[in-house]
Amino acid sequence: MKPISRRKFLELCAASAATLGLSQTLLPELAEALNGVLQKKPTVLWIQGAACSGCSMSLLNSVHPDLKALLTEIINLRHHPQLGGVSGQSALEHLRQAAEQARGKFLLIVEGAVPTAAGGNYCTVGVDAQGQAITFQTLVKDLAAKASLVMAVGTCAAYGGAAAAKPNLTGCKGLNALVDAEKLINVPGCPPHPDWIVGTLAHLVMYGRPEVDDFGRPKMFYGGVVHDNCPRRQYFDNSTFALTFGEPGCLLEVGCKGPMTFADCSLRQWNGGTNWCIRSGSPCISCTHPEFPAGSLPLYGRMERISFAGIKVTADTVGKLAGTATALGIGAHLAGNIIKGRVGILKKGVQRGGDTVDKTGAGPN
Amino acid sequence: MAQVFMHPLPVRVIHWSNMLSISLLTWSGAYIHSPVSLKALGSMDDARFLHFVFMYIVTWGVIYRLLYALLTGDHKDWFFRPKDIRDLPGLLKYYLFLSEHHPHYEKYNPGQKMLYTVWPVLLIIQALTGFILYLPGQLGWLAHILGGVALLRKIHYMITWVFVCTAAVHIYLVLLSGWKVLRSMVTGYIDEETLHELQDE
Repeated sequence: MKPISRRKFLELCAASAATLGLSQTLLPELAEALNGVLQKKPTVLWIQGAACSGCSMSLLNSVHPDLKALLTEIINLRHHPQLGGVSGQSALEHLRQAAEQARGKFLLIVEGAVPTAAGGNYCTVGVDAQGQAITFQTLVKDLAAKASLVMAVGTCAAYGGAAAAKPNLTGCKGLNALVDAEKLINVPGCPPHPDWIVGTLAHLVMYGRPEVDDFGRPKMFYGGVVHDNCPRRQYFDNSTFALTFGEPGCLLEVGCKGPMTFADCSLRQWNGGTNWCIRSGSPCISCTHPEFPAGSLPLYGRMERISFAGIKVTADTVGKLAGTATALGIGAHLAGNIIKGRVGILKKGVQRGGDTVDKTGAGPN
Repeated sequence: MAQVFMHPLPVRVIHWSNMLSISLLTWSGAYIHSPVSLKALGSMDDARFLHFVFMYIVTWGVIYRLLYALLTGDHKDWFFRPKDIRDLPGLLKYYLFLSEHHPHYEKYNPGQKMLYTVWPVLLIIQALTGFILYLPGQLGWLAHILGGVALLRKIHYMITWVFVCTAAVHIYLVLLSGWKVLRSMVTGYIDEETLHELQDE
């Protein structure tokens, strides 16, 4: 058997941790391994656009490794609007310098969507030397061109998310509309799990770009469906459904979107493995989905109403109306046919000669 | 009495296979849509099993029926063409009791042609949306292009109602024509007298 070194072993552990979702126990080891592997910590620049800072807050909840370990041992975070000490024009200057110093080598993390309407003027980050406003859109394009990779953290940054929801007056877009797919890694979620952010970062640092799915999400975190590993799955199969919150049973009828959601929440759980949405009785709202939030509506119901000529009705109403109309139509027609003596079953052997024949409606004979 | 051969064996087999599949798919689908209010099946597990078995059978049914049409050219009998629109008013007048005369058509009247043309199209849409919902991982990209799984689910559900309504009309009109017409879909034959009566009354 081929002997392996301790470092190699830890690398393997980290890789399998990422794949199997066991990072809670192995990430401290991973951090240790990274410390040894990395001669030079990668420069990371974190910028925020149309965001609520929730993704950053989620990152602060990172347990293993904690934020301190992440910042001091894994990455060299040169810019973050909230974690950084500087602000205003000097922060912008610092960001520009950091990007120039690490040109082509740094990792750009974008949090929040990019407003594109009105030339991007709905979101500006400062002024340039001429006193002209710098839009977030310009900043993203600028930095993305200089970065080695771009990581979209959160559903807004990845696909537009809540910021791009209707009516989207600011024209918010996700990075998929602005950055090459080759250069982009999406870590969606509203917010994303800290493990997804840190795990993707660690993978990028140690092994390069992780394998991604059709929506640019790392398969190691977004490869499975929430529904498939749901602790309430047996309720679904046995048709035990909760009709109100707090009841035991599958949460499908109160709007759970677990069957369409790709994430490992059911295995990983949140807040350091304490709990997660479904275990605390709340349906999954599919926050990692590219169509979130529009595609998840209604959050607490199964199917969105159909809007037609200003009227909003449920799909069931439309269907039942159509069914009733058909039944009434058939009934009325049958009555007419009985009166007219056209019913085939009843007219066995009856000759129908000498009827008035109306030729006006005749087709080609 | 002289018998006329109406429906070849493959057509009859596929017809009844589709009839069974669509009925069971509608039934199990209704349960999946609303398992709480509609207690038509034992469990979600059973309903999904039924749905997934018959989705394959109906898909093969559509494929084989279209292949059969392609090989034998029998779509000439049932495919609705723009020129069939001219024949519609006469049929509508008859159905709406405005005329006593049922115009003479070839094998099928334009109403039947419309139904038999729309059904395979709808079945293909059902298969497409259905398989996307069945394989959200592999076909997620397609769902995204087509407007998202939530929309596709709604389309899948509404088309089911189209099937329920049009199938009801189909069954009603067959029964209205008499049991001999129904029998012809089993044996393949109909007697000449009934056929003439149906075509030219």
